[in-house]
Amino acid sequence: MGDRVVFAAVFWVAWMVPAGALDNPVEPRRGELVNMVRQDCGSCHGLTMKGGLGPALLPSNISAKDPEQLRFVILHGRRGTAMPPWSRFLTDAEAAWVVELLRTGLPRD
Amino acid sequence: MIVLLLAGCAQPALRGTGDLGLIIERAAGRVKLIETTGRRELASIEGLGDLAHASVVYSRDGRYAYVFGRDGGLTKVDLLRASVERRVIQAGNSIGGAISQDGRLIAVANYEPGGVRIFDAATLEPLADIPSAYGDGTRRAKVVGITDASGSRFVFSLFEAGEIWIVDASAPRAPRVEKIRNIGKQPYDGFVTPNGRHYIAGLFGEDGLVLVDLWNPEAGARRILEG
Ligand code: HEC
Repeated sequence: MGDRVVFAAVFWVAWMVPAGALDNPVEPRRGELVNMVRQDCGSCHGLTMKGGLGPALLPSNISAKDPEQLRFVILHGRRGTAMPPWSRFLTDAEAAWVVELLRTGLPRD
Repeated sequence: MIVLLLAGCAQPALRGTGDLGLIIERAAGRVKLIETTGRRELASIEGLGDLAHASVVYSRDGRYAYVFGRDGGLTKVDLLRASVERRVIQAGNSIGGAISQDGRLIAVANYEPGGVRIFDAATLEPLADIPSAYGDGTRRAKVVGITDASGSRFVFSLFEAGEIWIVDASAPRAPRVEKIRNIGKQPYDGFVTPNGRHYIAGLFGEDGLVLVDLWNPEAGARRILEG
């Protein structure tokens, strides 16, 4: 059941993606995304991703989790919680890149 | 005579504290001591832990600042000496704090473990621990919007629980807690109006603000400013 929901969701995301959105972000967009993760995501998850209103998103917290599901949460939020959807600000590929960024850890300044 | 003169020179110039303040350098984990009459930076102070999120309250006489850091650190900074006077790690993750109106108590609002802890402002000795347990009592909410109120009271909100608690700490080792339940979904911050009478909390889980009359808390929380 859970799998089916996730499958349907992933399918839906793929279907929603506008043409070109699957390209990996390049500079200067990467820098913008790092800044967004620190400042905007950081307002809930902590400037250094150690957690706040939202859970910690350090590599040790999320590396064991399914990247696809994390990407889905980032794009669509989690209903009934404070985690908002970001699909208006991030393409599918950018969300995937943000997941990779979190899994490897944010660069030092 | 010479010794006396030298000692005299080593004395820093006398000054008031009314225009001293701290600026948090969040990413660097440092604070800057400033004075706002000459708009100058006086010193940089380190050793306050993780300040990625932090806030400050000042002692009544303006001599000390209390810094609440992300890592649960509570640091008492001597503004005249530009140094850390005392520091305790009192939780795993905290969001802010308040000082009682008589200046004797510091209350810290914590996310992890959820609750409020009260300290002696002079020594930072722990006096009380108030877990923010809700529902069946097994879960603890993140505490937000903590503020001082008249008497030795503190008011704050419980994010996941949708409650506002008023703590009377006039007997600081045995504080009395009054709980207002079902105030709305996910309060995320709060403050007391300048006249000191009303506590207002903003809701994250729905559009709107709620208000508690601190002169009449039995009346509960009232919805204001529908979204
Ligand atoms: C308004 C607060 C808020 C903001 C802003 C926010 N988040 Fe979240 N986020 C949360 C909360 C709360 C949760 C936990 C939801 C739950 O209880 O399942 C969460 C969960 C997550 C998760 C799932 C973690 C897990 O272990 O399952 C990821 C990934 C995530 N957020 C990434 C982000 C990213 C990336 C951004 C910025 C683009 C962001 N968040 C911005 C509040 C926020």
